[in-house]
Amino acid sequence: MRKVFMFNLVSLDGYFEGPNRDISWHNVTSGSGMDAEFNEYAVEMLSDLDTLIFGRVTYELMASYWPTPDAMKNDPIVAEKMNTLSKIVFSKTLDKIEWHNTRLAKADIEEEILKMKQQPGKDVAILGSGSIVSLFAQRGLIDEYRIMVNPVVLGSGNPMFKGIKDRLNLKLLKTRTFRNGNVLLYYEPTK
Amino acid sequence: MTTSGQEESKMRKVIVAMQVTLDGFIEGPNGELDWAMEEDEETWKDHFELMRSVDTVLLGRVMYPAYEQYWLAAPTNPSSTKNEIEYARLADKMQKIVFSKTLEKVEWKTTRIVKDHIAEEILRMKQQPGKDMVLLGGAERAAHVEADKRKDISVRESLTSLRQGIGRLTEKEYEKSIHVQSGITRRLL
Repeated sequence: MRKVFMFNLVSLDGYFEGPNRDISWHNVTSGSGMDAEFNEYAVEMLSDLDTLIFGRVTYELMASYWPTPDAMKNDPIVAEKMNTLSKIVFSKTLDKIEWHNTRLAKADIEEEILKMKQQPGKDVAILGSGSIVSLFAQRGLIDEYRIMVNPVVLGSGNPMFKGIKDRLNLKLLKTRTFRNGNVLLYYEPTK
Repeated sequence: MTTSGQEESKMRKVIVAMQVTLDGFIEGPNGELDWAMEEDEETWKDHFELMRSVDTVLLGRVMYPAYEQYWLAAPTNPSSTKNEIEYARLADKMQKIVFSKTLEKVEWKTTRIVKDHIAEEILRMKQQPGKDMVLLGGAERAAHVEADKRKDISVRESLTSLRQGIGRLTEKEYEKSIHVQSGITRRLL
């Protein structure tokens, strides 16, 4: 079966965004462009999947950047992948979708995901989308967690896994340390 | 931490050692610590490495009494493991500083009570020559009680009250909860 995994950047104190949705602390750039090692990882990750899942907030952020000429100039490989991959947005409020190859899902999330898992295909990734992650995690829909811990303590913001009620026990699969100080943790839920 | 590193930075470092959950908590909503990893040889090796890189341990009032009680007794406690005895030996040599406005006295000769002006005191210590200092906090101690907690539910309860000591118990009740624990309170590190 296809795997549904999440990828997100978090601060050392567990926030995926600071106050006012601040993500300026994301440690992924170097000079004026994308950090080369991160970019390499992003390309590799995107090559292993054929579907991306977003909540509304992350969708709007991504849709406002990746189709632009700037993105295609600065990050041509990632932009090409982001624009052509199949994308699903879970939102009850959004009514218009403009990004290429994107579908709006308003139906039952659990049903949608389970159906997708049964279909043949490469892996499915949830990028960012903190509220979707909490929801999916609580319902046991995520097969793998890839959490990139950034070397910063924010002190406040929106915590990853906010609202989770039942303890989620995880098994560490591997770790990867990036030269810029980010540490990527790979977990799967224990069965 | 290498010697050359210390020379470069001039000042002693304060290292915080703690265990946290993936979402950044040091204990559960009811003081639960049962999620902390059990100790194995690799973890002990890591503790020893840390303890050999420092010469001062900084502790809070809630943690200190049990830390002292357990580790002071560990060398002569027949149920101590080899690793515990080694840790006790390292802890004994160490200068220990406990930050507390209320603690009057300690048994451990190598412990000093600092009542106030904590920031100034730490800054002063940092400027003195010496190895680094470690602040043992949060759930760093959790790993060390975990195994025993599984065996004895009363330990879990007393630990919960211990950890909530500052907020919920009066000083007297707190002392009592520590006393009640003797014999069952295990390693607090």
